[in-house]
Amino acid sequence: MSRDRDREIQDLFDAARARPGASGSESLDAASADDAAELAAYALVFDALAEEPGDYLPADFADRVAERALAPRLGFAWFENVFVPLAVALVGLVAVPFAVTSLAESLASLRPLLDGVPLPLIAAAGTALVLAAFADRLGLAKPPEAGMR
Amino acid sequence: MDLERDVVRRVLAGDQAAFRALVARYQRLVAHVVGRMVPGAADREELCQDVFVRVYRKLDTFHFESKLSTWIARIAYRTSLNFLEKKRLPLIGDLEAEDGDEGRESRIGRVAAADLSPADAAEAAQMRAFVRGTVDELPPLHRAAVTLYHLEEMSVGEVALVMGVPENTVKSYLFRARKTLKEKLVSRYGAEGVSA
Repeated sequence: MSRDRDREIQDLFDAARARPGASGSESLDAASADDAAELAAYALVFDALAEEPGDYLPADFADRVAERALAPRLGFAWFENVFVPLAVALVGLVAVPFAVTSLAESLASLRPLLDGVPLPLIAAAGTALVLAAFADRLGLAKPPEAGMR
Repeated sequence: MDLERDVVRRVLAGDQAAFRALVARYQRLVAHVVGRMVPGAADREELCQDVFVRVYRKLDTFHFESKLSTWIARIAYRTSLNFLEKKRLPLIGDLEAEDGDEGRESRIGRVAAADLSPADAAEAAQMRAFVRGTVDELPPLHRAAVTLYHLEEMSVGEVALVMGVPENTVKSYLFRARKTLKEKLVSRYGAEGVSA
């Protein structure tokens, strides 16, 4: 059977489906007898596709879903999402200039040994490392999302 | 539509009974979409639950641009699709290319050798059961299309909305799925057996 003939037969059944009260047998009548086997096969396919498959959800499914969906969701984690980042930022604001100065001064005593090394840059990098370690310690570095399920 | 608006309004207002009623009303639709798309019964119920949890959490974003059933079906479809993608299961296969004319000929040969002679109403029911079972062998996107169109009686336009594809793509999925099912049926029972 050609692809076009398959399409014509399927269109016949679709048209019958769109008419309330119509059935596949009307489509059978409308087509030539040569296609009887194909039409009968398509009639079975269309009927089967409209049949209810077995139900696999438990009787108390709605209750289970409601229990899960309506369970109190964890409130917004103010401590983790607001206070800790705020505290880190504040500590950073206060500590960075002080730390940079102190480290620079400390390292300055080693200047004879470190002639030509940009000490303020090294001090800033060290401070950043300390702050990053601090933030990591507080759990701000989160693991990647585990996905939807 | 007024009933839908009322249910949605009540659920958003925190009416738990209204949410249970919403689940009870649409669980058949969700079960059909998930059940037809996801192989393996073990995952299906949990996925159906996931769908309704998402419906509950996103209900405030539903503004009645479509029917509520279409919106819920879309969530069920997307949830199933995400699941299949995570499992790296093929979403669409080229069954026709796999089978080809040669394959079809050989199947018909097997039918002739199978000596099956279904003839009465009971056998017609058996053939329909065979078709329903064979649906599971279709690619997931084809299964979704035939389920929404035939079982949920959605229009091609609604199916396209749920699946997020053009209408012509839906028509193509339907055509190929039904042609495959018809061929497998004829292959299994033979042309004479089917038309008896």
